[in-house]
Amino acid sequence: MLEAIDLTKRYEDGLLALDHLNLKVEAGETFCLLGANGAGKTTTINLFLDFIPPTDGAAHINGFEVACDPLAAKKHVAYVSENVMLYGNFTARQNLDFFARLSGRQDLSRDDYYMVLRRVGLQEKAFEQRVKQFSKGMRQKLGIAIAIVKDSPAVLLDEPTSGLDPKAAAELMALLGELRDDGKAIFMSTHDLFRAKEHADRVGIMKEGRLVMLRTREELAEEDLERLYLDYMEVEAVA
Amino acid sequence: MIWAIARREVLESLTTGRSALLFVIAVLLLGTGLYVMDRDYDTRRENYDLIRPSQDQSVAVAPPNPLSVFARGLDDAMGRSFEISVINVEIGGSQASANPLFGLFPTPDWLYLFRVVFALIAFLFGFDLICSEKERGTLKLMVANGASRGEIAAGKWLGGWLAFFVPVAIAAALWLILLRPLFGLALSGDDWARLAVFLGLGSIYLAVCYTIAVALSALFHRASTALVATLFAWVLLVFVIPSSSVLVARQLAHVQPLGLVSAERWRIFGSEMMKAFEASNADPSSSPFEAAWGEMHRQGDMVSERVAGELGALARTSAALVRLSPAGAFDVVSTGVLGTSVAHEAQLKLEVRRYKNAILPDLFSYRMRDIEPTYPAFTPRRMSLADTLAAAGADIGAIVLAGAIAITTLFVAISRYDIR
Repeated sequence: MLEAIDLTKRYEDGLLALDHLNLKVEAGETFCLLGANGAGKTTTINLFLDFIPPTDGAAHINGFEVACDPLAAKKHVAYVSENVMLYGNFTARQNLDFFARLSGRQDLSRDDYYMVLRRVGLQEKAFEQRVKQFSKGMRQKLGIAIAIVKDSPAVLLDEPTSGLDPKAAAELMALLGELRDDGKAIFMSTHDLFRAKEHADRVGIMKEGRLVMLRTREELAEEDLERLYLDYMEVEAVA
Repeated sequence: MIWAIARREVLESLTTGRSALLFVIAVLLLGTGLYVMDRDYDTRRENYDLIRPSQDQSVAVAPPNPLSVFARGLDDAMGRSFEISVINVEIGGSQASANPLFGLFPTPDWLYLFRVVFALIAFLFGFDLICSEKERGTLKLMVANGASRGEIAAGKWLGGWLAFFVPVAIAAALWLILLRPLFGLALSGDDWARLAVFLGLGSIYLAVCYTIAVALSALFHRASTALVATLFAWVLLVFVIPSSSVLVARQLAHVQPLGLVSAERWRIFGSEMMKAFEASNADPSSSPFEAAWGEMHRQGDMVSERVAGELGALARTSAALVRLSPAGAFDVVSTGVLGTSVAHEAQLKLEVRRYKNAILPDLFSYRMRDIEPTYPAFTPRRMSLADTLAAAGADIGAIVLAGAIAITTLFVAISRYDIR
C-alpha cells in the first residue's frame, strides 16, 4: 500500500534528511515511526505527499509513484497533520464538506457528514460550530473525519497525538485502530512510545535520516521500547 | 475542483461579511462620486448656458460632456470659450465650477474611484490568498487531498475575484439604473455604449490589479510581508509611475513655453500691422488691413499647429511611459473612451481653428462693412468610439499585457511554492 524504495532527500543546504529509506506498510497495518526531532520522520511524510521532491529513490502509494503521478497517488492517501488547522470561520460540517469536495466526494449529504462527525466522537453541538472555537483535540478529530470521508486506503499522520491530553489521545488512537480494522494502511510519525507500543503492528526508529530499527508488535512484547529507543539514540546508525 | 475552491473562497467572504462590507463601501463611494460630479456637471451646464454665444458672436464653445460625470479628465479645459477676432483667438470664460476644492483634491469621479480606490481594495482582496493558506496550514491539507497547485491558484483566484467583483458590479449597476430617475442625467445611445466600454475596461483593470496581488501572495510566505509588497506595488503602479512618466516625458519632449508662444503671436501681429500701416500711408486709397489680418491668422495657425505638434509629441511620449503602469494606461484609455482625454482636447482645438478659418471671411467682411454679423453655430465633432478604441489599442494592450505577466508569475510562483 505505502512503499518507500531507497527514498532519499538532500535539501538545498546539503543536509541529508533521508538516506535510502526502504519500508512497506500493508493494508490493515499500523506503522509507527519514532525518532528525535530532525530524524527524517516528517520528511518521509512530505515525500509521500509530494510536498517536496525526492533526491533519489521513490515513494509509492497503492502502486502509483508519487513523484511521477502525484495526483493519482494522492487519491489513495489521506493526511492528518500535527496541528490540524482548518478554516476557522467555517463550521465543522462546512470544513468537512470542502475537503470532501476536494477529494472528489460531491455526493455526500449533511446526514453523511453528521454520521462521520459522530463516529470520530465530536459532540453534536459542535457540528455546526465554527472551528475557531474548537480545542486541539476537537480539531484532530475533525482531521480524522476528513480522512474518513476521503475513504482512501492509506492514512498518513504526522505526530497526531502531540499536545493532546491523555483522554483525547486515547480516543484518537482508538479511531485509528478502527480505521486499521477497516483495512486501511496507517503510517504515523510520533514521539509517543507508549501508544506506539500499544497500537502499532510495527515500529521503526529513525536516526539522522536512516531507519535504524524495525520491530513487530510480537517482538516488542518481549522488549522495553523506551530502553530500545534510548539505546538507538545513543549509538551510531546501524542500518 | 477549481469551483470547489472558488466556492469556499466566496463562502468565506460571505461568512466574514467582507463582501457585504465592500458592497456598502462601493454603494457609498460610487453614489457620492456620482452625486458630486453630477452637481458639478449641472453647474457647468448652467455656466455653458450663460456663456453660450448668440448668432452675432464669433465665439466657439463646446457644451460640457455628460460623460465627464464619470471621468472628468480635461472637460474643464474643453469647456472654455474661444473668442475669435480679426486679430487672434482669445480664450475667454470657462464653464468650470468655482469650487476651489476641486483644485486641491482629486476629482471623485468613477475613473478615480476605479483607478485608485477600488484598485487598492482589489489589491487587498488578493494579497494573502495563497500565503494565508500556508500560514493557516490548510495549503498542505488541500494539496494532500488531491488539489493540484494550478487548481489551487485558479480556484483561489476565481473565488476571490467573485467575492470582490460582484459587490462592486452590483453597486455600479444600481447607480446606473438610478442615473436618470435620481440625477436626471440623460445619456444618448452612444454615451451608454462608451460607458459600457469604460466599465468593461474598468473590470479588466481591476482584474489585473487583483491578479498582481494574488501573484505577490504566491511569491511570499507570510501575509505581513505580502501586504507590504502589495501596498508598495499599488503606490508604484497607481501613483509613482504615472506621475513620474509625465515629468520624464516633459524632459524628453520639447514644448515651447506659453509665454514665448504668446510673444511670437504679438510679434507677428506687430509686424503685419506695421506693414499694413506703411502700405496705407504710402497709398491712402489702398485697403491693406484685410490682407494683413489674413496673413496674421495664417502665420498664427502655423504657430498653433507647431505648438499642437509639440504638445502631441509630449502627450504621445507621456502616454508611452504611462503605459508602464496599468493604472496609467487605464486612465488614458478611459478618458479617451469617455471623450475627455488629451486627444479630445487637441481635436477640439483643431475644430476651433477650422471654425475660425470658416468664419474668418465673414468676420473681415462684417468688420469692414460695419453691419450686424450672423455666424454659424460651432458644432464640434466628437471622435467616434470606434476611432477612439482603434487609437487606444496600445493602452488596452498594456493593461492586458500586465495581466498576462501577473497570471504567468502567479502560476510559475505557485508551481515552485514551498507549501510546507
